[in-house]
Formats: sequence, structure tokens, C-alpha cells
Amino acid sequence: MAEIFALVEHRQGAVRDITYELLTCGRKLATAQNTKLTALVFASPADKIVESIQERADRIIVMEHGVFENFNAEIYQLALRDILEKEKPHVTLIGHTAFGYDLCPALGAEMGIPFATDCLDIEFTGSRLRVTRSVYDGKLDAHVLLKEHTSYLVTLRSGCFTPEEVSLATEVVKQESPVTEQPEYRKFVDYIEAAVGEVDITKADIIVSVGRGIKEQANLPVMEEFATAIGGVLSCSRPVVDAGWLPKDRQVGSSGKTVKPKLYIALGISGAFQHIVGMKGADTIIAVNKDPNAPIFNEADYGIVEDLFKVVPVLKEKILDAKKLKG
Amino acid sequence: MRGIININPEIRDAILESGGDDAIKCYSCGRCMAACPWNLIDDLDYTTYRFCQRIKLGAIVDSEAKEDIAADTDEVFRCIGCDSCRHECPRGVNLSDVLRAVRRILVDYDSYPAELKGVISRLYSSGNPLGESSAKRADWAKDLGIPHFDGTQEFVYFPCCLPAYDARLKLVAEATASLLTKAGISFGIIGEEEFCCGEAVRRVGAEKVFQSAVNNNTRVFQKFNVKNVITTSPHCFKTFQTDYPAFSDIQIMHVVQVLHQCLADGKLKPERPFKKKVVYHDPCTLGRQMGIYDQPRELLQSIPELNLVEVPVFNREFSVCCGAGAMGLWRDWPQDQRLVKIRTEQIFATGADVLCVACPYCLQMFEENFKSMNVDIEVMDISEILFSSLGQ
Repeated sequence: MAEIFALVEHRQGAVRDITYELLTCGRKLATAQNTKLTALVFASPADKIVESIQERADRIIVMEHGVFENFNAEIYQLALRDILEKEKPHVTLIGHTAFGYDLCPALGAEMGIPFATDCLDIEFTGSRLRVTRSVYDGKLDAHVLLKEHTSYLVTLRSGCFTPEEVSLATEVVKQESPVTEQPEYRKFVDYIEAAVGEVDITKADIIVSVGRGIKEQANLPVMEEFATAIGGVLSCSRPVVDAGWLPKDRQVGSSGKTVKPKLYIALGISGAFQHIVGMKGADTIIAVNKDPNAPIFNEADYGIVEDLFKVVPVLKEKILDAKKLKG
Repeated sequence: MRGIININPEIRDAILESGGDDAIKCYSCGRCMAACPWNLIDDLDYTTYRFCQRIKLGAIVDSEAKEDIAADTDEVFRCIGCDSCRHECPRGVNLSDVLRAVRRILVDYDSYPAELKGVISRLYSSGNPLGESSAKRADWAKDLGIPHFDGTQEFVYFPCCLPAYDARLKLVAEATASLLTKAGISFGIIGEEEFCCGEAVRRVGAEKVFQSAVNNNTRVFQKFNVKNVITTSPHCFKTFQTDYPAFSDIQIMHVVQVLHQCLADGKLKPERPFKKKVVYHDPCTLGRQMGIYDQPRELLQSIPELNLVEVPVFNREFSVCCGAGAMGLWRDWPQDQRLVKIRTEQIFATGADVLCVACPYCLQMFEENFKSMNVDIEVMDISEILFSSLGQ
């Protein structure tokens, strides 16, 4: 039975999270098909990367060469085609990341094999591959059957599989790279790091959000300290950005960012609907506002009608206590 | 600068076919630019009179450079459709319709302001711009004992999406429904099956989404055999009348018209004094576009001890837009470039205690901006003021 392949994604020497999800998905498929899972590592150096995924696949094929140090779709495409033609896997899984969608379409077209992008799940129905894709802005999931073929190429959306620890007996196989030079027309140049201090509020599990109720900029450090103490980040509603107290990338709402944290603490935010649409997806919402009629209380799971400056110190203490008990 | 423009007949024809044929009437006199409220903002030149000329040459959003398209797109989507220009235009050019035609094409190519994309997709998928569940659309009326419209009532009351869901604007729907009940008007609501009227999405060029709103509301109104509708929002009021072909035999009334009639018939008697200085802001859609200026003023003047004042010069057909039209409600211009700021300064100068509006968009824009600018003026819908003046 032809195997399931998963392409290992790495950056600056570290394996990217999507890799573990690909391996978990791949193992599910391999088990169902009663076949083996192979991870493909194109890297330089490769040792640390191979070590990170040890025991998560039945076999690891390693191509170690300087050209693989940084991602370049042109080189990956040549190397991957070489392996796929030799090994003829049943399914090859690649992350639906900037890396994956740079590489995959060209490879699929070049090899003329069925190819599906941005899949949430994959399974076989009989001998045909069926993938789940999200349509209509996430409102519906579509099941898509790929035409019957000996080999399939699939990119998987990140966050759809929870990585599982397994201990497989892994065989490591080294292969020569078919590519030894970077093409002139496309070369890796540089990594540009996001500026220090920039916070991506959309990724945070805990968000403390402030509105005009904090009254003045001088009160921001206290709020920031509160957010940090409870393991969260600070965001805000529009008037705080208007006043120039926080940068635009901290603004939650229709003209700012949409956030879905586990916990959203709204301090002194009245809750204009333009703000609400940006945060109503949060798992738990706690609102503190002096005005009992503030619309934010309609969205909140817990509401405190009180001066936020009185509440914040108590809330901070209680949350820290609760965290201590837990951990 | 000298330059040669190549006429691009494809772009020109596409715009004219999409409803922009008023562009042909324009002779570039520039009155529209003088009337446009954007030009009340310092350091901003919104050269409205150039749009029609550029369209005639097919020289609008015709570049292939990303930056040029972005700059052009920004300008095309700046107009909030207040119709100040149309009011001044000697040739009667409907510039907001001309720009709507350009927008239709841009929306088809996905070139439109990012902050509008979420609003449009929420409206398409859930029937309202807030993305709320339609099952909750009648929740505001739960405790008021308002019946579901079943054909035995005379009117359907259509509160608009914002008053149906937003905690502040719900108070407007409540006050309106209470007034109608007090006046003995027989009405019901459709609630769950209502869909946004779509006026704003149409203005930004999302024509297909608008058509889905039309289809949905037409189907529901026909199902219940609706003959008379009362709206809270001037936007629903206008679009039901002008853009819903199947509604031609339905009487659409704005709530101020109904309340004005009730006052004349003696069904409403404002008795309790409202001892405040009140300034009335003419919503663009109710005033300039639908010609309703006197009825709201007469309603306010009927309230004992209410001191009605006007914004000097910029009142009635010269009223300055709050900036919420054509989805301006969802845009985020830099603070010193907001129309609502200009209008707030004009309103503040009247020394009024209360700003009276007759449109949910205006109410929300002013209330939020007053808080931002620390202006201590209460914002009330006309139905709220009137309700507070009724005897017990």
C-alpha cells in the first residue's frame, strides 16, 4: 500500500507547529489505510529538526544540503518532485501556510496530480480522497471528492488537528538532494522580524481592553500592568486610539481587529456596536462600567457596575489567586 | 503638467451601463464641490466635479499601479451620499448614483475598503450588518406586548437593524412602539423574517447583496400581504419607496409622518413640559432626499416649554451630514477628517441641551462623537422626546 507523506516545515532551524499537525493528520490517514507515514525533511543542518519529529513518523527521509537552509519554493519543488516520482506516495500533506501555498500549486500542476488547498479534514471514501473545505466565509463546510488517482497533494489549514505525542519506531533514511544551487532569479534575502513591542492582539487568549472610561493616558500603565499580570495583552476601543493613547493595531472593532480570546475584560467601554462586532466571539466576557445601562452589559457574561479603578486591583488579586490555586 | 489621456471606452461604458449615465449631464461647473461637506474640512480637497469628466474619458480607476488604484478607490468611497451636491447641481446630476456605478465595478473586483468587507458579508449571511441572529430580531419588543403582524393589523412597524439589536437604539424602537400604541395605531412587527433594507450596501456598490435583501423582504412582505409600513430609519423609508419595485403598491411612511398625523388628529397630546433647549438635526435622507423638514419641527413645537433652536445657515436643505451614510458608519477616518466633528461644532455653538435626530445612524454617530469630544449634549430620537412628553 502506498504511503502517506508529510512535508516538514521549519524556519530558522526550528520546526513550525503546522508540522506536528500534518504528522497527526498523516498518522490518522496511514492508520485508516493500513500503511506507513513518512516525514520529509529538507534542511541544513537537519539533525535538530529530525530529532524534533523523532517517533512521530514511521520513516523520515532527509535531504541535507545548504540550499535548504531557508525556504525557497523553486528548490523545494524540484526536490519534492524528485522524491514523489521515486516513492509514489498515496497522499502528500503540506501546510496551508505562506510556505505551502507558494509551493503546492506549481507542484500539483507540474506533476498533473489532483490537488486540494486549505483543507480542514481529509479521509478516504473507498479509493477516492474526500477533503473538507470551508466555504461562504466559514458558514458551511463542503465535502469535496477528488478524482481517482494514484497520488494526491493536499494543503492542510493550521489549527485543525491537535498534535498528539506518539512513539513510533522511526527509520531515518538519507537521500542526496537533486538540487545543489539556488536559482539566480529567486534567492532568499533576509528575515525581517516584527518590531519589538508590537503585539498581535488577535493571537492572545486573554485580552484586557480599555475605553474612554480610563479617563486619561496616565492611567494606561496601571491597565497594562494588570493585563501583563494576568497573562494577557492590552487592547482598546476607538476613542483611546483617537486620543493617541494606544496605536491603531490595538483597536478592537469593525474598523480595528476582530478578536476571539478565551477571556475579554472590557474596562470602561460603553459598547458601541462597532466595537461589539469585533469582540462578541470571545469565550467569556467580563465588563466593568460605571453606567448600568452601558450596552456592553448585553454582551457580557459577567458585569460589574462600579468604578473600574476600584475593581481592577481586586480583580487582579483574585485572578492571580485563582491562577496560583490552579497551577 | 501636460499629459495625454487615452480614452478608455471599456471603463466608460461599463460605468454608464452600471447606472452612472448621469455623468454625461455634468459640465464641470464645480458647484458640487462647493456644496460637498467634505470640503468643510481644513486641508481636504474633495474634487467632486472631476469624477464625471473622468468617467466620460474612462479615466477613473484605470491605472494598473496598485497605489493609484488604492488612491482612486479611497476617493470613490469617500462620498457618503448626502446629496448636498445634487441639491446644488444646475443639471440635476445624481453624483452619489454615478459613484455607486463605479463602486459596483470595484466591488466586483474586490477593490473596496477593507472595513466594509466584514459588514457586507455579515449582512449577506445573517440579514443584518451586526451579524446577529435573526432569531433575536424581535427580542426588543418582547416585553411590550407587540403582536407579530398577521394581516389583521393596519401597519407593519419596521424598526431597522440597529434599533432591533443595539442596546442604546432599542430604546428608540421601544419609544416609537409605545407612542404608536398610545395613539391607537394598529400595528405588528415581522421580527425574525425581516432582512436589512440594504440601502447602505447598495450605496457602496454591493448590488448583489442588495438584491438578496430585496428578494427576501419582498417575499416576506408578500407572504403577509403587507399594505402599510412605518419605518424608524429614513434609509429604510427611502429605499423601500425608490429601490423596491415590488413595493410600489405598499404605502411606506416614516415615523415622523405618522406621529405628525396622530398629533393633527388629536390622538397624541404632548402635555408634560420638556424644559430644554433642543436643536433638530435634519438627517440627509429624511430632509434633502425625501423633503421632510416641517413635520419633525412641528412635532417638537407641540411640546410644552420645549425651546426649539436651529443651527444657523446649515439647517434644513443645508444640513451637514453626520457622516454615517453609505456605510460611513463603519468607516474610520482620521479624527480631524470626520464630518461628525464639523457638525458637532455647529451643534455645540447653538448652546442646546438636547440634540434631536430622526435617524438611528445620526443618533449613534453623534452620541459616540459627543463622548469622544467631551460635549455635554444629550442625543435623543424625536420619538423619545415625544414619548417623554405624553401625559401618564
